[in-house]
Order: sequence, then structure tokens, then C-alpha cells
Amino acid sequence: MAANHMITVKGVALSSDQRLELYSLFKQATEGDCEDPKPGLIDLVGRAKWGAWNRLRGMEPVEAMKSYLLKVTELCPDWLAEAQGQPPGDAGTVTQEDMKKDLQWEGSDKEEDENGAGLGFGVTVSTMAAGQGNTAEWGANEEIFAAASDGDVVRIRDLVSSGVKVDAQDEEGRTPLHFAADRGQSSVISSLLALGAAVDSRDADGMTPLAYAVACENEKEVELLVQAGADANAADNDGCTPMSSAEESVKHLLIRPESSAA
Amino acid sequence: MSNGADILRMLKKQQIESALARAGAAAASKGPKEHKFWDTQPMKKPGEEPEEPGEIETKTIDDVKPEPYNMPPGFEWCHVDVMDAAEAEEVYTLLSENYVEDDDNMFRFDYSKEFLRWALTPPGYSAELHVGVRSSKGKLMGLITAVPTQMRVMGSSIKTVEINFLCVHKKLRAKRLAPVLIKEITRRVNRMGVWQAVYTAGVVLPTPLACCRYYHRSLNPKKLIEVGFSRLANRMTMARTMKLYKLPDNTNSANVSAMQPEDVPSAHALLSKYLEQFKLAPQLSEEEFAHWLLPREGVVDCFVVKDRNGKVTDMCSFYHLPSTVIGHAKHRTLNAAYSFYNVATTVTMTELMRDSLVLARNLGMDVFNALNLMQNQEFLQTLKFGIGDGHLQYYLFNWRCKEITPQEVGLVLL
Repeated sequence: MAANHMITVKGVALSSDQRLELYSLFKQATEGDCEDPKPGLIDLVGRAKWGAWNRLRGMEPVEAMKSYLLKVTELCPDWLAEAQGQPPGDAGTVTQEDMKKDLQWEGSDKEEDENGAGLGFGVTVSTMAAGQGNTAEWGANEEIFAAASDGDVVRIRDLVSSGVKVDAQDEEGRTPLHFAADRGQSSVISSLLALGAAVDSRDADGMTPLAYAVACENEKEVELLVQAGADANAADNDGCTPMSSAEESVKHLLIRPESSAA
Repeated sequence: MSNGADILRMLKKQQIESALARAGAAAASKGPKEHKFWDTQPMKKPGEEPEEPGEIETKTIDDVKPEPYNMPPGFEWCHVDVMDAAEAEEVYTLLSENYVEDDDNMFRFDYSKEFLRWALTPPGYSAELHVGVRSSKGKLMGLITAVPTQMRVMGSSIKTVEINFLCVHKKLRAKRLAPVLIKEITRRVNRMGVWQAVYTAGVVLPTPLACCRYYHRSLNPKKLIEVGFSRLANRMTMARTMKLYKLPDNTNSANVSAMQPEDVPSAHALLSKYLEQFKLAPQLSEEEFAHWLLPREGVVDCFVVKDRNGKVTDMCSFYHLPSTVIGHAKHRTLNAAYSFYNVATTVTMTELMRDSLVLARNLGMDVFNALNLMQNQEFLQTLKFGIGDGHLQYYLFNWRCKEITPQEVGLVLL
């Protein structure tokens, strides 16, 4: 297996990560979602490949094909030109050759894990498979939501100074502040408020960022929003308020001292 | 991105299709995997579709050698006695440090000592079949166990053992101990006049009797996301996820109670009758039923609904199998409930299982796991179970018969 560590696509050396990426895209493009059982504990290559493929669960085969071609082009920019230089009808062989290499790799780890053959008796550790529910990526003009979710304060400042609205709403009426409250990104909350974000924006269900922070029991974020004047009694479309739905862990944070309330 | 579109435009659709078709054919012609060890064992061969079920290899006790298989130098066989506190601790340590992990090595099963005692000491168990390997320094380095069960497989009632807890210390994985452990436990089981065994595994070996899939129901979604058990999609919010999985505070059925010893006869009758419909199911005696299903704190829970005469009409049960969260700053343990045996007669299976989820949540479980066997398919979607990345294959050693579907499986192993 070790001797096999690098393969080449048209003379370009590929790392294991690149091979894994090509492999997984190829499998997704040709076979769709991974339905194979997880390989044994000792079959490290098999497990890596299985994992890479399984992570693409839900990706449309056409998308996988597109990404595969993009990746090949990135690694070997000339392949298409070369292919097009060939007589018609042969153009497909370059792609196929690359694919075949991935397949050879798949067949190359013959080494049966005899030690591992029995390991894995009993139940298996299973986790939630990826790709369930709405897995759509953020679009180009929705970058501020991704930045708020990920805690990327610098990016948010750049976006706002380049004209993106600090209270931009996504298709469900959620603002960057909602995402920051939801994902427990306290530094993003501070930045957004400093940039003039409205503290009590409502999403499509009438929920405020404070309602999100309360639902998630994100104590620090609840505190920050309350300090900024968020309304603990703002009722959503179901009539629920942050105060009425708060668990004990955050409820005390909603009660402002008399002095500041007055 | 535009680059990708250009490429696609340039490549004729036909070319892509033909390349994909040829590549697909290459993948299909790979042929079956070789299994050096398993191919020598009395197992149904891949692709074999036997008409008549039956034994693959028929032997008598005299054909089985009385002395154990040889161990590599520096190792010796031993029995482990899980009723002994010190030995139970050794087994616990071996398994908690070396047993099954998930694909990304984030979680490892953490069977409690009480759980191991429950799993290994049903009526009729033999300490002879709790086989260990010790190093010359006396350290427990390997384990394999068998416990007896009468099994019904498509109309035949067979004396079997359930094989479990095959574990080899991480340092010894190069020594090929697993096949020796399997051969040795087979020898010991055979010497007792038992010729068939059932076991499950996440991996595919020659040849599964049934292939099942795991499903998971989030009970504590925030923790599951924090530990990486599940992921939060970009556009999904934690707030909504928590709302989605929120369960009522109390069970819908007002008179659900933990099963008591006096409920055993009628609950046993209920389950035995119920299991008759499945092609693979255990045939539990009343004593065995009591062992497997009477509640044991932190190990197994069983709840029943009774009619006016005290007869059990519905039952749900799950066992507790926590996993260690490997290298996490905030969370050490993931508490998982595994669906065990459930029978619904006065409510629907979905209603019963919703109550089971509430009961598991109230006992501090983070996730409720179920396989797509028995009637489980009926409620998985309605009750918001998500598909897992784990498969579970059922195997029957030295018995040939046709493959069965998950819905025909009426057996849950630990």
C-alpha cells in the first residue's frame, strides 16, 4: 500500500487527499449516494475512501461529474486541449483514462485485513449520515450569513464596508445577527451591533435573535443581546416570547436589574 | 465555476455518457473480495441461493479436538469471570480502550461493567465461553465471548450461541489473533455440542443472512452537533433544530410503568407470540426473558402498559450503550439508547415508540438508535429518525439459508 502512495494523472503527481477527492467525486458521479457498508477497522484505505464518498451523500451525480472535471482540469490544465486535438470520437478517452486510474486504485488494496476480519463483531458505532435536510450552500450574495455563522468578524466588516446591508435577510427573514445568536458567536454579535445592526429583527416566524440565543441556551449571547436592549417579551407568531420559552439556565439573564430597566 | 460550465459545454454529452458507462462496467467486473480466513469457514458462499436450509458442515463432538489452539509465544488462553470485580474491570478496560470506533474515530463504545455482566450471564451461560488471552505478564490482551440462545430460523429451531465482544488489544493487531480467537471459541462451543452461532458485524464478510441499517433520533440535538455526531447544515439553525426534535414532557399513554417481576409471565407471552412472525428470532424461556428485559439501572429499561387485569398489552425496551467522545473538551460521553424489543397492541407502533423516545430522553439519553428491522420502518420517518452511516450485517455460522430482509429480522444483539 505504501509503495502505492502516489499515482499520476497524465504525469501529474497526486497526493492522497487529491486522489480521495477524485475518487469520491467519481463514485458519486457514476453510482450516486454511497450504499456500500463501511469497511473493516483495519482497512484504512477502504475506510478513507468510503468516508470521502459518503460525505458527498445527496450531491447530484451531474454536480459530482462537474466537480470531477473541474478538479481534473485544475490538476492537469491541458487534458481537454489534448483531448480536443485528437480525432473526433477519441476525445472521451482522456477523461476515461483518469477515471480508470481511480478505479485501479480502488482495486489495488488487495491486502485482506485478516486481523480485522473479525473485528467489528457486535453492534457498530454509527453516526448521523451527512446530507440530510436542506444542504444547499450559501450563495455568493449570502456570504455575510456564512461569515456570521463561522465567527468571521473581519469578513463581516469588509462586507458591510463594501455595501452589504448589516441587516440583510435570507429567504426566511433571518439576519446575520440571528445566525450569530444561533451559533454562539459572541464576538460577531458585538461587531454587528457596533455596525448598527437592529437588535430585534424578526424572522419569518417572528423570532428575534434573542429568541434564537434563548432557544439554544447560549448564555453569553443572551447576555450581550439583553445588554443591547433586546426585548425579552417580544412575542413570535406562535405567541412565544424569549421569557416564556427560556430554560432555567438562561432565564435569569433575561431579567434586567431594576435600575437599568427604569 | 464558469470554467466548469465551459468544460461541460465542450465535452459532448455522449462522450461523458460513454466514459461513465465504460467506467461503470470496469467497476462491476472487479469481482468479489477475497477473505483468506472467512473463506475457510462453514459459511454460505456469496451468490449461493440454497433451496433447502440446513447445516453446512456436520460433525460430532469426537471430531472436535479437545485441546485449545496454540497461542503465539508469550500469550496464553484464560477464562474471564465478569462476576469477579477485578476481572470485570479488566474486561471493561480492554474494551473501553480497544473496542469498536466509528469511521472518523470520534466515538468508541463504552460498555459499562454492569452492562457486560448483563450481556454475558444469561441463564445457562458458561464462563468457559468467555475466552480471554493474557500476555506473559498477565495482562488481558484479547477477548471473545459466546452465550447460549435457542434461535428460530425460518421454521427451524436451532441451538445456537451469540458471539460478541471480539476484541484484540491495539498493540497486537498485527499478530493475527482474531482468527485464532474465532477458531478457539468455535472449538469450545462445538465441544458442548452446539454447531451454530449468530453474530453481527458492521463489515461485510461471507455471507450475511440480513443487512440492516442504523437510524438515529436526536434527543439532545445541541450536544449531538457539538460532539460531531450530527451536523448543522448551513441554512439550518440550532434554534429550529431544537424545536424540531422537541418531545413532550410526558408520555402520551398515562399508565406506562417500568416492568416488574410480576409482569414477566404475561410480557413474556406477549413477546414470544409477537416474535413468531419473524424469520430470525430468539426463542426465549421465561427465565431468559426476565434476564434480558427486567430493568437494570443504566443498562436496560423496559416499560409496559397493562390492562385492567394486569395483563401486559404493550411493551417497549431499550438498552443503554454510551460511547466515549474521543478528545472532546466539553463532553466526555455520548449517551445512546438502543431500541430492543417492542410490541404494540392497544396503540400503534409509532405511538408506542414516541413514548419510548420520551422515556429515553427523561433518562438522560442524547440519541435513540434503531435498526430498520422488525416493524421499525413504520415509525422511523414519522418520529424524525435520520439515516445513520452505519450498517449492521447479521450472520449465521454453519447454517445455509436464503438471505432475509431487515423486516424479517426479529433479533437484536448487544
